[in-house]
Amino acid sequence: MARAALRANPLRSALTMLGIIIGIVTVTLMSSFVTGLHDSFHNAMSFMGADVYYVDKHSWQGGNWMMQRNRPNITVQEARDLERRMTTARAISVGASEWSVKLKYGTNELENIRAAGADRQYEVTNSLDMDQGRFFGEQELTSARPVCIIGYDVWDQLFHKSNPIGKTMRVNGYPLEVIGVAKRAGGMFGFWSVDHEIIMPLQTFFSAFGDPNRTLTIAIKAKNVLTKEDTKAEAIYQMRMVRGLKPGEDDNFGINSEDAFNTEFDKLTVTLQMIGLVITGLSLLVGGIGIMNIMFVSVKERTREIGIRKAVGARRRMILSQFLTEASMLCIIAGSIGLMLAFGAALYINHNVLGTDSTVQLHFSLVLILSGLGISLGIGVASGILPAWRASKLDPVDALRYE
Amino acid sequence: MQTEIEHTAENSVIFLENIQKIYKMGQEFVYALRGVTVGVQRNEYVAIMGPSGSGKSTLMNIIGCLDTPTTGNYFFNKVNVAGLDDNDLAEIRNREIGFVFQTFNLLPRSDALHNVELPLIYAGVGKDERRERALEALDHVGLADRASHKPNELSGGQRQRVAVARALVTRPSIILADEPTGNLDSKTGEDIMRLFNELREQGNTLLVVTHEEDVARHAERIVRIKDGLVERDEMIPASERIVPGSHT
Repeated sequence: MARAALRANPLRSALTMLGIIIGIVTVTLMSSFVTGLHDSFHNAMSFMGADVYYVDKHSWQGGNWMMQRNRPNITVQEARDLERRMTTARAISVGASEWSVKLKYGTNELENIRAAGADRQYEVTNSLDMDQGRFFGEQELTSARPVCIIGYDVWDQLFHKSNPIGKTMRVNGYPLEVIGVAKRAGGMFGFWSVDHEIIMPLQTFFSAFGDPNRTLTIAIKAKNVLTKEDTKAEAIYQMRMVRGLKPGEDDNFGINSEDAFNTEFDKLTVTLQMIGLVITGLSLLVGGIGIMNIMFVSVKERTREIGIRKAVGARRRMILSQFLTEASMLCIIAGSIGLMLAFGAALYINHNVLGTDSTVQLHFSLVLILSGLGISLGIGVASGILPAWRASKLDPVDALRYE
Repeated sequence: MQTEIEHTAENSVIFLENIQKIYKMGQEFVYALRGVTVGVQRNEYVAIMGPSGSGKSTLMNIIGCLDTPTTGNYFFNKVNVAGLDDNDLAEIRNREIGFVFQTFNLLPRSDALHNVELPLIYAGVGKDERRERALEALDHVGLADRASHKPNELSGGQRQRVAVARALVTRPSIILADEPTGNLDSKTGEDIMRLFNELREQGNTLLVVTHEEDVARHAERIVRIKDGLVERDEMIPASERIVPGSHT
């Protein structure tokens, strides 16, 4: 019955559905984008390791930046003291970093590369795997040998994947010999990933970039990921001891982990999701109003039909469900078309706009499809209930007389 | 000539007892029916006649359970239906009453078969049985070969026959026809009246509402309504009845 009614007025049905179609397309694309962003970020952050804490001058998460500026720098000596005291750490490394250096090899140049100075434990705390060559040895560390390990992107873009081992490149003009290439980590933002990094012995780093009193970062990898909170607590306690802080005095260092990013980013994702839903939900609301409007028109036009149906014995509930079914079908059809369009658009965007090797991809899950259909059905019922109710309440005598 | 039998709720298919229908129009009350008492027995063929404004339409709506009386009792197969609610009345219309309207009132987008099936759908009859019974009813009115035609592909007389088939399909206690020939030319109207005669002979109970003497004269009994009251209730002697010719 409902299908016949839709077919009777295809153009009007199509125009009415357009609102829902657009609504579903925007809602699902928005949602798949936010989900994609979220997943990609968590992937990108996972290189840090869930069981690693970073002792820094600054806290990554919140706090007063100006007050933190006056904190003492973190030194190699403090790192060594901490290492001696810690009992729940698997490895402790100390490192320094320059966020943006320029690499030159032959005529090739590469900018905005992160340079890290590190000790031998860095390989463990940062879960480094070597793709080619090797990590630097104790001898190279203590004698500040001009050697370095390069990330995958650096190898790709500076050396065009030719054999880099034994080659000398210039880092801000300072010559360094490549002794290894780290395995590709992947990640959303280059500078947060080892792919876009070069790593050299700490002493070499000071020679290349100067300022040996700069603040350092101590990375602490927990013995056991399950008891990492204990490791964190111990790290705070031991660092206070190293610093000689009195009870009641505030920490004058930050203890950071990927959780800090993840928590912040999860908040951002939820906010994005909410804003997105409100904005895109508006188009669904407009679509729903369109459905409601057309259903009122349909009830009016078919007053006589309703009268006939009632005369031959249709109960209220049957008339109600007929019009509810009709509104729901309109919305389900529109929702399905919207989902197909959104799926097509997502495939297109993933392939041609973001690119297949992009770490951000639109995620089109079964949950998304089911909730899209569920939302469509919900709108159908919500926008159909009032017109259907009105139809079911019609007086059969009046309805039969209606012209 | 008055009816010989005394009608009671016990011996009638329908028995209306002192039915009043009062409408409120603004500040004024309009008395459409002022106390109608009438009964119809099984297998009777009765015409209700009256000029427009006489209250016959109101009476027919109440008899058809499309409307409820303001006061009075209405016994349908001995059950008082005067106080029933919408859904119960819908069920009585579905099971006990077959309607034939002046304007046919078929669903324009559905074919003849579906139109005839409609009451059975609401009666909850299964698909196969529904189809079988609807085809049977169409065959009964001589339209078995028009089952898949839509109303706009049928002539006026054929449409009214589809409507009659729809009225018959649930095997109702009473067939209620409201000006069944009003939209038909006289020859086609005569065909429909002949069909009614046949239905009567097959044991159906027929109630025809009309303002045309010629139509009413087909019945065995005429109930005349005027100013909301039964003016006259008379049996028509066989010699005065119009019997439609047996050929078209």
